[in-house]
Amino acid sequence: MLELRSVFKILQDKSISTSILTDINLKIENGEFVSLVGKSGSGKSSLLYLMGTLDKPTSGEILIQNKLIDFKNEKLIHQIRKNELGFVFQFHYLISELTVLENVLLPVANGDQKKYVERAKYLLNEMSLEGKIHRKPNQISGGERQRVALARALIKNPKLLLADEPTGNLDSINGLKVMETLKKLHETEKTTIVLVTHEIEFSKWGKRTIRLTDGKISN
Amino acid sequence: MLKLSIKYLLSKKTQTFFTLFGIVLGSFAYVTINGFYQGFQGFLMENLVNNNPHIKITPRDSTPTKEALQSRFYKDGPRANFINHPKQQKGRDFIQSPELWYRRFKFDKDVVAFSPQISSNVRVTQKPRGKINSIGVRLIDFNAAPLKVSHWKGISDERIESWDQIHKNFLNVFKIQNVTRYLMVLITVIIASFGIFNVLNMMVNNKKRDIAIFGALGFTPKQISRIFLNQGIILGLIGGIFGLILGYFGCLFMETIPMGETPMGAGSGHLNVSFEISIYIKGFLVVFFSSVISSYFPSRVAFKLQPIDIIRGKTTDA
Repeated sequence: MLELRSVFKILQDKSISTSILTDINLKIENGEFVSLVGKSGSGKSSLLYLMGTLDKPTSGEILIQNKLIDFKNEKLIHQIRKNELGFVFQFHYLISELTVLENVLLPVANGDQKKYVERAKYLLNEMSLEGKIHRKPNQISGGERQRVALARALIKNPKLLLADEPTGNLDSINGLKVMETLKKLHETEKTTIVLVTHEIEFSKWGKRTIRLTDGKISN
Repeated sequence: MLKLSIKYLLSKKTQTFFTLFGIVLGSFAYVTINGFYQGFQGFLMENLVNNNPHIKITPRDSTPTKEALQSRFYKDGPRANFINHPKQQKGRDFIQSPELWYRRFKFDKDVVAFSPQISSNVRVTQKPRGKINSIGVRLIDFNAAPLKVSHWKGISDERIESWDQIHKNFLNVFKIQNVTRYLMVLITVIIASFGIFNVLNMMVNNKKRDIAIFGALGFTPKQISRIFLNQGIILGLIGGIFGLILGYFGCLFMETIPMGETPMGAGSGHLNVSFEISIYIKGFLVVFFSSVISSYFPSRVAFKLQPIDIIRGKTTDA
């Protein structure tokens, strides 16, 4: 369902060019839980952003659900992000002006939100946040915020969830809670998960581990 | 998205209040300044039109002939000096065949009344006979005077002027007044627009992280910029309407200011203020569109931001 063919990413800053990713060939099947590991600066997050169409490759091809991504077609990119993908970042990126429930419903803000209220409540219930749906992000803990971000990423039941160090800013207890939630959702909803992490313990939760070293897949 | 725009506005209450205040002030200034000037000008115009003929027919100025000029110049060395200004030269002092004019007026549906004059001070009201120095004509619609004048000029040699030509200098003062009032309104609206621009620009800068997540969630740049544009629309709408209401009450208050027998208070003894609906419509449109335009530019900034640049930290986060 997700395939990368000979993907290169080179960052050009004035006259200096830095190779971030080199010749990435990768295939992730539906329903897989893949951990992406590597040292800081190895290109884990860059690879995840390419998978999530947030960034475009310098060369190579990316296919999502067997569809070749044309990065010039902005409309298509937005549709893929909206309908096929879910993102969780190291920082929660919750909208401080909205309540927990409103934040979870944000991806469907331009459509029929009412249709998704029940699912939002279900997800928040799964994440033990049922009593805090009307609170603002600054009224809940860091771990809870990250779980709200996770619920937001899952509101439209995406086929692929891309998580960029979701436990990076959390203590071990909250980190564990987030990971348990991810695992539970993977098992119950069969969501394909790509998890970027530098924590060895959490990387073992994935069914497959891809190691990146200096922008290249090393295993 | 509208809900989010409102929430963003409410999250910075003080900032929003002062921005709104600026817009209200712009709208209020438009209504009161225009109400005052238009009221004053309207009253003077009414007097001008009601107390004077709409069209005045006087004997034609003739082009000075060589013979006529001879008696008016004397030679003083190499230069020629005139005794009397040649421009004052008239061919004759009376209108030729005024009866033809009376007949014309009688059959002209646009003419309400006419008043032949035998001198500048004596007005003949019944059966005018003899030499007539001028004829004042009153029309149903004084606005039709220029057209009527151009028509009559084609069939007569007399000097025919419409009311606006007669009072040209007086009406020029109105033009200067209009420039002043538009300048005053423009300055107020520009200040209010800068307020909106600054607030929204700051907001776009402060909300870059939010913009990044909107992009990651599949919002199109158009939808993202709409969040900020909506704020300008909301502020323009509320500020504009409130300003109009306050402006209306401001005009009502101005109307009560006693002016005595000064030209400003002529007629009622109070200040003449216009409540024409066009002032309110124009005032609202000026303020509303200024708000939309000044929020358009910050929204364009949001439109151009790429989520990846914000996430990677290429742009400074707040």
